[in-house]
Amino acid sequence: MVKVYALSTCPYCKKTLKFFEENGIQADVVFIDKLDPEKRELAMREAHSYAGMYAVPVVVHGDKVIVGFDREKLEKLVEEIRDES
Amino acid sequence: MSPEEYLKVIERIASSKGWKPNPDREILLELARGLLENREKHGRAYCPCRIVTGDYEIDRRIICPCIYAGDDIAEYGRCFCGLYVSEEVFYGRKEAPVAIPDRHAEFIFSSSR
Repeated sequence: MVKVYALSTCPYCKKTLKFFEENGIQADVVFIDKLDPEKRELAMREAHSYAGMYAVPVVVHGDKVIVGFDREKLEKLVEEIRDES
Repeated sequence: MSPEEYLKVIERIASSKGWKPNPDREILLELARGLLENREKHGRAYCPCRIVTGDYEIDRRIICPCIYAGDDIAEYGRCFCGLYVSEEVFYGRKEAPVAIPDRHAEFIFSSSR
């Protein structure tokens, strides 16, 4: 399972989620823009704590963090996840 | 207005500012879709890759083109959501980063402390 901090209107987030779906990887998605203000700020700070900056999408799996739609890194992560199972 | 029609608005803004629209048409249309969705939902074409807080004093800064776009394009070759890029990036003389820090979120959190 990967955790993805995303916005529902952001195309890079959509591409990232589609990538995981196409590769059969389950994603726990936090749509920050769908949260109420308090939870929204918490989620943004949480994403920032992983990414070191405010940006979306932020993908977290164990100690791996990918910021933005970075196909190369995402492909590597999928391979690692498959090796784990 | 359709995303395709909105691209004409984007091209006009880009040329007036000396920027270029993102050469990736798929991303460009998705960004246009996100902008139109925000305009529908929130009344203005707010940046599709940022949080709309509901506080107009904060949100007006991310009405596209956002107030940060010029600085971001100068520094990174792209605006935060990647709708607009510099000529160097557009013509392949420079590569824009996959993601850039969000000056707006920095503003939100520094002003909310």
